Amino acid sequence: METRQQLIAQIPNLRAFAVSLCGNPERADDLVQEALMKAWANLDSFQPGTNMRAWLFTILRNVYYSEYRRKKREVEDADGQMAAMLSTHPEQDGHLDLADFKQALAQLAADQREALILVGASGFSYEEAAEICGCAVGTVKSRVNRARNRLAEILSVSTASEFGPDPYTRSIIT
Amino acid sequence: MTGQKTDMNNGNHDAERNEDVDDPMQRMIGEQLKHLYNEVLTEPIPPRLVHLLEQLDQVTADKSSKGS
Repeated sequence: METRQQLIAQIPNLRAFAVSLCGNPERADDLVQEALMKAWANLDSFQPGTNMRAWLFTILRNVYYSEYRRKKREVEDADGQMAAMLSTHPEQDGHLDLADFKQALAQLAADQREALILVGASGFSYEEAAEICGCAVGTVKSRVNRARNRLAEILSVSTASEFGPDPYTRSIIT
Repeated sequence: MTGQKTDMNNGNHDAERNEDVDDPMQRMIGEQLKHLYNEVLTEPIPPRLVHLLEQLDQVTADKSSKGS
């Protein structure tokens, strides 16, 4: 498969990861675009036979965090927007739990959320996730564990509050 | 099925997930996580990203034909 086709094949995964990093679909596409341009300019540094997806994720992550350092303030605003967006758009497809889950996910520390997504959703091994994040395998493992425990904690509380007076919830359970 | 995890199954990505499938909460977390991710994963690829790669391809092709 030619390089362009290989890169196109990875776009859906890159977008999914980018959305999970920045929480904003439009900004996610900008990140993917920049990552693809960087990848294209640095194709020489990709070793054929190694995991292209992991290579691209590393680039995307670097793009995100270098931008983060450059415009930290702006990103913090975006994070605030993310929390607001996630909390005001409950799913319309009957997945009440999914809206709760999105909110819970948004409450995690960024490094824990990232590790959990890479291992639990993108399907990377701990070793690959460690390479992508530039940290030790043990660090990824402990971040994933903490993310899972924290999510369980948040979701246990929100499950209990489902029986409160929230009208949307009430309309579903009655 | 003991639920015990060992670190000996390197190389098999699925086998070393740290997901406790016996815990309903952790199973739900795993499912929701994938559901959320797959929502984006199954969206159509934005044309502008495909177009970008076509342009990059073109520029590279032009460069190499001029360079030789």
